[in-house]
Amino acid sequence: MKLRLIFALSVALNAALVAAIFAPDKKMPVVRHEPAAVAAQPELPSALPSNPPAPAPWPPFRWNEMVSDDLKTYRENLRAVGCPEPTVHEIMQAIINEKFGARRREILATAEDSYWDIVRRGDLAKRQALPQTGWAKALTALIAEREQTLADVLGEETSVAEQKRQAQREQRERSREWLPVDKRAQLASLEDSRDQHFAEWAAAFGSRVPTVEGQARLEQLQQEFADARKALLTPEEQEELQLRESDVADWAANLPGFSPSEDEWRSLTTLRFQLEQAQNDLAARTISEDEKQAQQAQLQVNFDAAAQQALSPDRFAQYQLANNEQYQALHNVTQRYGLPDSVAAQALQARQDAQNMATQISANSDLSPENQQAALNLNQQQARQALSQILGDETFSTYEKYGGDWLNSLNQVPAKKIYGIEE
Amino acid sequence: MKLPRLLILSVACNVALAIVFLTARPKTAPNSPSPSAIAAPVVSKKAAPVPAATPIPTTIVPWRQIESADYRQYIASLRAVDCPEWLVRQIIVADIDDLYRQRAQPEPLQFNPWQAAEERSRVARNRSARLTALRQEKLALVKSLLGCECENIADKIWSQDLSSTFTLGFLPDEKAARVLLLENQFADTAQKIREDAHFILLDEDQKKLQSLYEGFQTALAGELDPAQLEEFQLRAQQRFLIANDIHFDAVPVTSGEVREIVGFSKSVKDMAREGFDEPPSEAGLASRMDAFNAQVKSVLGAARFVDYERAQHIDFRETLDFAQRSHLPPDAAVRVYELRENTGRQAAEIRDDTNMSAEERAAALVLLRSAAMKNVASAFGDNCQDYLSSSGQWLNEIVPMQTVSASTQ
Repeated sequence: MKLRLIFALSVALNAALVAAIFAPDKKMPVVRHEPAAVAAQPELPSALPSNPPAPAPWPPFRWNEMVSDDLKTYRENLRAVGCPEPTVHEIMQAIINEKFGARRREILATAEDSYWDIVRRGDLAKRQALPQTGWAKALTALIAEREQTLADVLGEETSVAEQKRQAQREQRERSREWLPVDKRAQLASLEDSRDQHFAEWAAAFGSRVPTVEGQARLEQLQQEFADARKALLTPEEQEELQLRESDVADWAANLPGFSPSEDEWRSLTTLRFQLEQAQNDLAARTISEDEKQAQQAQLQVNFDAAAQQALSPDRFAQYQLANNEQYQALHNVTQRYGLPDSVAAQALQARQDAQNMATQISANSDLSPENQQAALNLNQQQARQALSQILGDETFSTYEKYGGDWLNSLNQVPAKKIYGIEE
Repeated sequence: MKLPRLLILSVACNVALAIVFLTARPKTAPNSPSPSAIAAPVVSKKAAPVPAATPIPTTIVPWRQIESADYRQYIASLRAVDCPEWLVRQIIVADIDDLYRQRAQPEPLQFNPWQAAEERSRVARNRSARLTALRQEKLALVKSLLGCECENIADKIWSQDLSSTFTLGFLPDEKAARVLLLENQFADTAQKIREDAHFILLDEDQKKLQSLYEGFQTALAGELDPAQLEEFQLRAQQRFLIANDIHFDAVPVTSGEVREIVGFSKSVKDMAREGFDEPPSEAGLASRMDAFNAQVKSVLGAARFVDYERAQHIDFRETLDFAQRSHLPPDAAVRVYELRENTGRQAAEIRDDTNMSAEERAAALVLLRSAAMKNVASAFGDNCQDYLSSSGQWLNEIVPMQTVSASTQ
């Protein structure tokens, strides 16, 4: 019995200890991302003992011992007490901003009374007018002076252009994860070198038109790069790179309502790439405009036929629908209400039926103008009813606002044509 | 298992847990750092890298006594060394900004080229929601430490375009910063509502936007005094003039009257609510514009309203611009503009006059043009030739080319 009691007490104590250990501490400190940082510190103020046997003095320094009118001295004082470099930057930036902030406020105060006068003159809308004002010139000079001071005290920051280039490089690197790491690095290095050569070439001509030799040099640079890339990549890798980085590669991102598989994307991108090349060739040819249009139409027909071959019948139908702007407008709205894609397809059919009917009525010369108008009004009414039935009242009402404008002009008699010109 | 064995096990647990309890509890941050905390050799990822060959000095680093992993302690220590309060705030805000910039460093949006639009949009929305949440968390942390929702806005203030700088220039920097912060929060949240709705706004979305807008106005009212709030709202509203191509060129109007007119324009369209309200119908807009023009007329009076109406014509503004560039009085521009209007009307009448033969019409138009030229010369003097070759092209259009060639043959 005694053992049972002791056991029960022991279990209770365990529970209490667990609760005490894991209970939230109301006095928990707000933790910074990193513990206190220590900068490399070559020298400390001589006042501090080099081998302290005793507890450290508190406070270790007073802030006014750091302060100096000379910003570089201020910075060095911070470094001397072991302030880590990023914190030195933060502090010096704040101090510089405070100094320049006061001057900025003075400049703005001089302009304050003229605000509504500048609005009256319409100068806020004129890009070129504002920079010509006295205060704007003073402010622009102050901004430049502040940047120079920041650079003097804290060193040059990486330029925005360089940051952009770096981001582009990283983005390109990530998009090439399908390539082996070593080839990725070598390709990036080839591209950097090419860019460098191109920049030097462009700088040599400035704004002048390149000479024949200059043009030849550019072509040589391009060829050298193409050869080096060819030597680096296998033919399959080259083909994949060309496909993924071509101008037409991103089509799926802009085609809501069609989600291609990898194979479908590959087939259609190859076709789109070929179509684009054929269109470019056509544009460069010296033939009549009519002939160009006819050949352009033929290229599109060929593309559609090839796409039909590449996809299953269902998928091709979906692909075609997704490319239809009228369907896209309907699809956007049906998606918003979580309706299936088939509802958008049905509504599209209703729209096309109504528009075909309107064309027939307008073309019917047996109808008097009054009867024609009455028939168009009825067609419009029926189209509204049909769409409302397919989409539901609420979805239809939203569709009227987002893409349903065509309904309003469905009952309009087309303008009569006199000598081929619309009245 | 027998009870004695269980008891031994349980007692062993008592001992182990007691040790954990006594040793592992975090200590309350002291007012001044303890020597053991000072001596702890810790390195931040922010700290400048220490070369391997450089031995870390054994001396006490004064700054290490200040800096702490606990923000409250860090603030207290900075205050204890008499760091100015504004600088304490700047240091802490910059530090927290840096922390959250690293945390918000988004995993890059990298898609396979076959990933569909919907999937990309979903991923982008999730990321944007995560960033918004992090920002809110950051502001809440700053508020809990410093009592204000401050952000490091120096870069924003210094890189603002001139127009925005000027527009907020009437506010003290701290208030301007708060307004910028509120505007950003408001715009981000509104954008998120629109994105979540795929830009197809249903009633529920409109309600969300409406409530967001009201919250924004309340927050602004909490930050600014009534006069500042009114000025801020009017300055935001002046975009109405730009959006509707409204001009006051050569209208004798005071800047106070312009401010008043901008105030009226809210009844046509509240620019702060742009994108929130459904746009009015064409008829509705026309009727609001009529009411607005009536208010403008009541401010300016009938005579100046004529000037105001004239200022809305691009032809007049072009003429005035020429006059100003040529250092001519505005009155000369008014005369030439009125001449242009009258001449245009007369030319139309001549062209439509079926009682005249073609030759008579041509002759009348030539006469009209030479009279107009004479008047332009009288208004612009020596600058007349410059005018004819620039804004004065309308004079050549009085007489159609075929008429000119027919009459000269």
